Amino acid sequence: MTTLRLSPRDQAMLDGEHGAGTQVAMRILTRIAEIQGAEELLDISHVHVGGSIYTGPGSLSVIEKLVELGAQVSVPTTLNAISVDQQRWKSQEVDPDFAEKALRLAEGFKQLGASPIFSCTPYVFPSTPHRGADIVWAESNAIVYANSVIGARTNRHGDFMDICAAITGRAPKAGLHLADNRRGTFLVELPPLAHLDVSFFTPLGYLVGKHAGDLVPVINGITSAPTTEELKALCASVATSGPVGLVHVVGVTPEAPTLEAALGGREPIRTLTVTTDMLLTTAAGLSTGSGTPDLDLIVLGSPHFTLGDFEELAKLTHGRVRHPRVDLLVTTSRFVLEQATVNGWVEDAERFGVRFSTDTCLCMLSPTLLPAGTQTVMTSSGKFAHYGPGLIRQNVFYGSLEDCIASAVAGTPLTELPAWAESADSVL
Amino acid sequence: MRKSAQLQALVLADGTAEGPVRATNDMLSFWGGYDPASGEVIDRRHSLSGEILTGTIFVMPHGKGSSTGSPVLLDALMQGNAPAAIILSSVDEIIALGSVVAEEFFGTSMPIAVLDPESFTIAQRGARISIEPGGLVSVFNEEEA
Repeated sequence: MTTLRLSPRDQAMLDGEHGAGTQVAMRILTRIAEIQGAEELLDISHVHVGGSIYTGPGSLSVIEKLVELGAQVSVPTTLNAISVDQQRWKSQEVDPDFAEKALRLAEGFKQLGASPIFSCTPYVFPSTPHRGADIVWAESNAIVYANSVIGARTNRHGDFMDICAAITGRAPKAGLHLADNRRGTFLVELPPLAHLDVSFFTPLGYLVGKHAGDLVPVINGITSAPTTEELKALCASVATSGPVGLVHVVGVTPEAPTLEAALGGREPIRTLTVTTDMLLTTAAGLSTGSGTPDLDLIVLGSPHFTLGDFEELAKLTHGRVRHPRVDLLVTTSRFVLEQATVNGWVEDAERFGVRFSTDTCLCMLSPTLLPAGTQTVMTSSGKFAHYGPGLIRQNVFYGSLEDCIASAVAGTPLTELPAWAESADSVL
Repeated sequence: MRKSAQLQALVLADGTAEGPVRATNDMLSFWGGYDPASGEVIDRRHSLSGEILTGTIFVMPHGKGSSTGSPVLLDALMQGNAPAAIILSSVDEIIALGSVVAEEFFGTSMPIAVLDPESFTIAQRGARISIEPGGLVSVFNEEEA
């Protein structure tokens, strides 16, 4: 086993010279660094805290103890979505006891000095890190986005490491912080397809995550530049189905200008040749519901809705009328909702009957947070389609955003064959 | 019970534990996949969906998915609903942190250990496992009839 060498400053933090809060943070950091076989720690320039989600009294107590011990973050630190909408939880009839704990957790992180952006898409905020920066991000979709799309360097950190790193400004020099570990090792060859959209990148990510194991995927065969929303869908679903922290997309992501560059000039360890059928089967498997029951609720925005999602939702809802039974909930950040409102992309959706909620996200839904009588739920999020059945204890239908709005009009879950699948024969 | 193997694990979090084995080849995200208030596997696509893992020796290759697995494991541990120990086949920071942070803040922890692939397969086939400090893993099988 390698030995961890600490800088004099690291050692001073470990010895308690920077206060008791910093001392415990450094102790946790060094224990994890030793487990990972790191030889030293490195400086980090940004932290995104994943653990602002309320999971129970124990983790709330950890954060409140750090506050009591006088800890403060030492690098710019942003906060993930929290478990309630600060402005709307009362009208949403959230249990006051639960809301109190969720708000205490958010308040604790704020007292530690973290910035309350309350979003699982920190990468659309102005303070986002630059390529090559060593950072510590938690929140699985944001980890993959930061590594892959931005080209910043973070490991697949657990919550708690985020705040320990923020307090000390340090992280283990291991894993994806090291260039050699970022080399692609799992080649994913795509069939020639056109009309790619979010409904393509969602099952693609889920499929790749399932097969990746501990390898770094390289997706080859994307011929047009994906949107932020398409990359968000890819990152979120690859992070849901596997232990993936980085995925290269040849010709798209910064460390993959060519296939050779993405593979670091070596042969891949494994190759997966994707077919249209595999993608359609994966998409179908994202639904746990079946048949055409009465639809009660459509949930969108996991990860948080971003501007392109708002623009598409505005187009899809313009001039249409939803079935009166169907409720629609979109979760996003206050920052993005304000921009979408200015751009005029909120009115049509609200007229259609969409409710917007900020600060929190779909991941916080539980049986008690669903509107009374909700039995059939549909989503366009691969992440929520995966986790939803466990979180809300009900089946969840999956379809594209277009499918979801068509289903809201019809009052029952409908899914159409996507345009990219129809293109399978014609582009050959 | 017959002791069938004694294995040496890499220790991610130290401690003593003993219990029935629940083994899987499916990776699990503790957040969204494990209810810390009951110990139930709630990932409806997981092979152990619906099972209560409280008090078991949970043998799984590696975690996946959410970074919030760490607080979920800590909260399960603090509420008495965690597995007695977790045995993995490779290092997993997210899972290790749940126990490491619980130990640093509350003096409570659960063993988290990593076995090499061959030993891991032996552990998966066991009926009961005990773990001693330092990562000594004893595997017991049912007596043959």
